[in-house]
Amino acid sequence: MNSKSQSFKSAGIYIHIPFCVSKCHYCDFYSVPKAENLIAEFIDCIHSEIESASLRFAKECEVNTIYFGGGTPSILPAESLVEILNSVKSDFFISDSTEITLEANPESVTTDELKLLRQAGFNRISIGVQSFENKDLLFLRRVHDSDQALNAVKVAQNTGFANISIDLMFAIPEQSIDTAISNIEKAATLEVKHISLYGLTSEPGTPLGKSVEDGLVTLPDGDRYADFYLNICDKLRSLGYQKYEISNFAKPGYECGHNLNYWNYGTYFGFGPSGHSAIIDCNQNRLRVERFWNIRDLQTYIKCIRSEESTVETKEILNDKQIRLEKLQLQLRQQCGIAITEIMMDKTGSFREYLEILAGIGHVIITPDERIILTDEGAVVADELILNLSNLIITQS
Amino acid sequence: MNKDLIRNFSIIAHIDHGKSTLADRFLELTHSITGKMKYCKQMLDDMDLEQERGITIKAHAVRMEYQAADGHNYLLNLIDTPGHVDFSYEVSRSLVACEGALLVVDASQGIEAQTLSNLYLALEHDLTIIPVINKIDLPAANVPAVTQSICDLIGVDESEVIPISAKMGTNVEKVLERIVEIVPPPKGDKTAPFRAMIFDSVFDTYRGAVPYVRVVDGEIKKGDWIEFFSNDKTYEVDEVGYLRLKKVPCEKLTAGEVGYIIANVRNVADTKVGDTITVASNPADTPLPGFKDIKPMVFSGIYPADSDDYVQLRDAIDKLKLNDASLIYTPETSAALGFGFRCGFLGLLHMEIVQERLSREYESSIINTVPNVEYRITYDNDETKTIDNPINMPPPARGITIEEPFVRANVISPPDYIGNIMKISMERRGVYHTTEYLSTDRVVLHYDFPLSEIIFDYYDKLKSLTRGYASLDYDYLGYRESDLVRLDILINGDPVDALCSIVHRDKAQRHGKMLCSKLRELIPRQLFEVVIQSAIGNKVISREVVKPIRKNVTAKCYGGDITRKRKLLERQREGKRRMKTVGRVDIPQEAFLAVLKIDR
Repeated sequence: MNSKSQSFKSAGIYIHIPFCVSKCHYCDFYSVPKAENLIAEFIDCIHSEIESASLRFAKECEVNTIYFGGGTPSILPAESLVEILNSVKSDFFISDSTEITLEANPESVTTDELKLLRQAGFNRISIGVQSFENKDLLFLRRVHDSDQALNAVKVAQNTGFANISIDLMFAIPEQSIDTAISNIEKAATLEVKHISLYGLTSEPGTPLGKSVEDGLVTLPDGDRYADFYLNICDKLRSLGYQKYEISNFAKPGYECGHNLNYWNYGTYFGFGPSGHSAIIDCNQNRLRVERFWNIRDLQTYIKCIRSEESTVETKEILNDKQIRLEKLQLQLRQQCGIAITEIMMDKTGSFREYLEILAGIGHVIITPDERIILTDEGAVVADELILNLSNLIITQS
Repeated sequence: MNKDLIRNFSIIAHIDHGKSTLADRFLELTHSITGKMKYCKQMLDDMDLEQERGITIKAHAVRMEYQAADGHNYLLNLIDTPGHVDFSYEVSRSLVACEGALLVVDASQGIEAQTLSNLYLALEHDLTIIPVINKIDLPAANVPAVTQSICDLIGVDESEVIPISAKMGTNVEKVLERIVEIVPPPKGDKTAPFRAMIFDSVFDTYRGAVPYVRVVDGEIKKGDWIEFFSNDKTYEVDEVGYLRLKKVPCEKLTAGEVGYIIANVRNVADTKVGDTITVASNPADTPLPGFKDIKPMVFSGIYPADSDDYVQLRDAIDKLKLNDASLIYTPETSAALGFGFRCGFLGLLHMEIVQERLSREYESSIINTVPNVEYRITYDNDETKTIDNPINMPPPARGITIEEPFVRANVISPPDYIGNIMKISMERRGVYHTTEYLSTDRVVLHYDFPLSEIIFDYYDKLKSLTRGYASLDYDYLGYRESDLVRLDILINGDPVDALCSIVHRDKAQRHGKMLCSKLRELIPRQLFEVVIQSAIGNKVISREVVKPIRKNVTAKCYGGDITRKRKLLERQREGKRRMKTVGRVDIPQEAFLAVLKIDR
């Protein structure tokens, strides 16, 4: 596309590739087992969805980030991924600096394919390493082993990906803090630019969730979780990785633009089954936030596209209270924190008093320019802090 | 109606000994219910709660017409009695309205404490007793042994005990025949000034408080003006009638009859059980004997779980009060729980019933504080005051005498469990008097107890220590001096009014310790350290710490599904709203009942 309308906004595009080789027992993202005939149909449908969305929205947007997530995008043939990327490129405004990320699992990364993808414009890769320790990978029932993980990072580097992110997990049962630290050291040695680091969590409805419920698996308790996290944060900082969100660390300049757009109230479109979209407008300092999301079922998704029905499952327009809650949730998790004025009207009341108590026990820092920033200790109890603060905000308004 | 053909009777039976089933059979035999209504439920218990709990909470009455073997048509009035110790005054009024009583005993269970004390009440009022053994069809029935114990108890001949099965209908008609035969017709003077005793009262939304009465003298009809002896108010009678399964209007009620009077009485508090009604134009000189203005024995705070719902709760209590004259309540404020009510109840069961009715009516959860009795404080200068909320108990000081209500309790059980009963009763500061054998396999133990020691879980404990065999009954004795102290609970240094309790000094240490440790389990870890202390006056007895929370974070917050995260937060906020906040500490509702749950 080559002509831009007058008032355009930056936006992100997410493409959900809902296929996995096998389902990880802790994961609650939407995915189905890989099946050739479904894949072909899916690709066809994604094209249609991108095209019809572009007719509605492309004129007013400049796409700054594109993210292929899943599922496991890398199990699609590289040609298919390129094809999908090209259809985004032809239907939306894209700039040279647009961040284009591919999520990949170590076992499905090959030199030839990554070469092709790099050439097609993918400039960032996020590899689901999880751990460089085979014992951890076994517990997580990952398909890859430690060697494949190392190899995947090297292949990405050799095929010209300068912006490499890896996912690492901690607080895996029987994992030692030393193992978690050594995972980070390996990542640093490999010179990856970005690390997403999250503690293993039992999500209800997943097989792991059930095992935990049935007492077959015990996850590390809160105190141990906190020990993991605090040690990891220290280590990452010492290796030059900045924390920019509770679970995200990067070398300066390598923060994930796509995620930042989610958290900072940018517009985004999610294509594919379970894809989430948000359209944000600001008129005279009033935010209008509209969210909608696709059906979480591949077959139904395909059926809807084929019959030209909407794939949207639900749509919501947020009220002011909901916007303030979300802002608190999303911004407080980030290292830049949240401006007190964003969430509070009255600067002297009980909210202020409460903040100072939180600062006193070392959970938050109040900066001279009046922002609330979580400390590492505060980050481990972020949900509790957000809940407590949200009660004060909402009751005050 | 010819007085000689009236028989007024009630049934004395323990819960589950078959009173309601027997009543159903009577209704069928006398054709008081039509075929279709049969078997749908036990007819006398018309309140949901009563059916669920299998007990009759409030007395009702039913009139039946019975053609006896002697060829006469008799009018039988069955006046039901509440089946629990809390309502013993109501029971006594129901019994006084009768000339006879059926003593119904389960052939497999034998006599229970409740039965025994109601039987004594009936004998005290000279009622003719007809002993009946029910459930003779059960495999576990031991008719000869139970017959023997009944004979020993009331001094009748074996032949006078009627073995029946209300369930199968066996010998039920024999019972009706015996009633007609030996229960005397009502006394009373048709021509004397009108006197009727209220044995129950219900509230009708359209017609006000409706007293159920036994007419003793004279007669009453529509258009008469009635007066209540206890309050001197007068009302014009709009309707009189008798009770079948609903109210049946009739022209007049005369001496000996049982029925209802509708006179647009606004408030059930004006139709007090035991009070005498007379006619304003020709009033009786004296009321019928035995009226008592009953006072609540057990007190508890009732608060809305969500402080915003105070008004709804108030409306629900007001509505409940319309039908329950014995419920007393006044608004109170708690620092921890906000606005609520201090309520007075006849006893623990009455309290449970009110709480349950209230939560149904109000359709939202309520917090009940731990029940307590009313204490009496006397100062050096002879000034006296009563305290129905522990928070008002002064700190320990010289020159203060504290008294608490005592009861005389009868515990009936097979002799095997005497040891267990004595042990638990001693733990509850029981003062032992005597043991009597009712039969070789049933003993009754007489004790004096501080009421406060048995209102919590004494009965439950007793049941579990005797495999369910023991039964309990008690009578109010009066106030006695005790060495009591106020046990405060402090959370991060702030006393929590709703957790304060009054305990015997000897038990304070243990009680405080257990309470603190229970609270430590119930109060969730929060951002700050929570220190829980129990104290008497300035002296801290025990201390527990809830360590600050170390982890509560969503690890992975990417993906565009922000809505899900917000909704989760919204749900958590809702949960948090249900907690009560003391200082900055969130206390879950269950914590306020912790005091009840701990092992005394």
